[in-house]
Amino acid sequence: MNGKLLFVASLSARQRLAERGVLIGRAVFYGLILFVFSRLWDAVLEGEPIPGVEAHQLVWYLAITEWIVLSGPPLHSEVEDEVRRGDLVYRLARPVSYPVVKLAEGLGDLLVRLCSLGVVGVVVALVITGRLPAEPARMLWLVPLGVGAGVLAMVMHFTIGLTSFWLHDCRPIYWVWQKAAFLLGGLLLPLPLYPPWLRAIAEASPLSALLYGPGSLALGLDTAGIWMVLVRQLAWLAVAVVGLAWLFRRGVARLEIGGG
Amino acid sequence: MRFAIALLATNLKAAFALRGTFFLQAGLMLINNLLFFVFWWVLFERFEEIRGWRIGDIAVLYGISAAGYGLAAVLAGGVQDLARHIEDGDLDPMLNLPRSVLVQAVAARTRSDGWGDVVTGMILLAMSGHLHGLAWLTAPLGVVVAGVVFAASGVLLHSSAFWLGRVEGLARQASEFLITFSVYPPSLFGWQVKLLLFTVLPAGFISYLPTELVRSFDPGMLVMVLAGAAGYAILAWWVFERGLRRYASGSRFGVRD
Repeated sequence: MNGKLLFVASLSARQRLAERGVLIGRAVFYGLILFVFSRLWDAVLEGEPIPGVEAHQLVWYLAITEWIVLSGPPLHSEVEDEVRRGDLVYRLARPVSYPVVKLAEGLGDLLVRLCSLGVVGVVVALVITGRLPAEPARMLWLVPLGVGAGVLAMVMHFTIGLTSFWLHDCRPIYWVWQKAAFLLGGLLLPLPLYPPWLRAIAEASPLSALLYGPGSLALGLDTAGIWMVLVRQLAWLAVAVVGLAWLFRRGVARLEIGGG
Repeated sequence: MRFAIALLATNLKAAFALRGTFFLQAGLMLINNLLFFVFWWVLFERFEEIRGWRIGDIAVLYGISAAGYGLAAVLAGGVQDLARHIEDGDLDPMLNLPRSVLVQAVAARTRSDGWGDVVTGMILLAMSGHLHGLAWLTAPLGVVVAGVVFAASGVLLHSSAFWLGRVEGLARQASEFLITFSVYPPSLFGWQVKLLLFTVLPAGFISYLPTELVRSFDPGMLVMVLAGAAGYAILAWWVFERGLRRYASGSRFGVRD
């Protein structure tokens, strides 16, 4: 079984690698975002410095959080297409569970995105800031943290795609989820810069483990903090998988009733 | 013109027919936009001013961009399918009618989520604190200008399919760049980037100049704004018409839905 899933993941990765234009477009967009925000941070900090935080740390922080956001495969739109076109019915009849195969495909895509954008992020952040993060060796923790966050995002995207069983179009749900992730995850601003009440809400949500946790490496997160982020990612991943399985069962039951 | 209005009316009727979907899409787009604006609110809670820009100025900038983009999505929602239509030879059925192919193609679709953008823009403009005196005229004008330039730049990008073939992904990506740049204050960028933003990616005409017009009225700037929007619209129309001469039919028979 694992061999089959590995094959599915590697096939998906090879397909993604073949889409050169898409890879380049995404990389350029990532570089552009880093450029815009580096200018923003320069402008912000020239007026009023933040004690203990420098502009280059904020650029590296954003490089990490954007890397995770752009690496999450858009499984919601693939699932929506398959539900709407009815292709899902054929895939349900196969001997391997549909969500498991879909997540294996997504994993292949995720790894290609993480690797390609990871290289771009390091190069662009280095060019913009002219320096490496304070403790470069600590950045190796981004491998498990990035994969953990990517898988968590992927499961959430899949779950959003499953709402297509009920909704005509799942994109609006995705937009809101995406912006909630931006805000509560601390995509653009580290959570300590938030007002206390908003920071408390953000830290209680799974979204801070998704973005702010890994991003904190650029702000000097210690080893105990890193382990805490990993544990939180795993805990939220377990919750997300249970939610996905529950919604999938409900959706398939509805499909059977509708399809006769 | 009458044809475009009739096409629009039909699209709106179709959108309102699926009332639940319409309100869901528009409502969630509104929430989506306001959630993103919270970022600016948080930033300006901590830093009162960034290179001469305050939260009210950002509300005008973001409001004009959002409402302009929404206007383009509602009135010319077909723009984002244009490259695909050109590549797949889907313009064939439109060539037979004695109406502008460009109008048929771009007004063939309306996007419900665009209403969410329009409402977002109105809310932000109302909350900006800048709506007084002449701004009551320049703000709606700015929204219309932004809508025209968004639609025109979309037509320009997608029309490159006449010469380059499969450019749909690239055109969408470039549109995202345009949106990205149009919601950040121009004072962040140096002159090289600004030059780019008044030519290749016309964020300058979409939001920077209209925002300046709302912040402090200047007749010279009004002329620049109007000339910029008209220039982009004419350029888009001209490029599309030139491209249409090169259009290779899909060699398929079909009728429009």
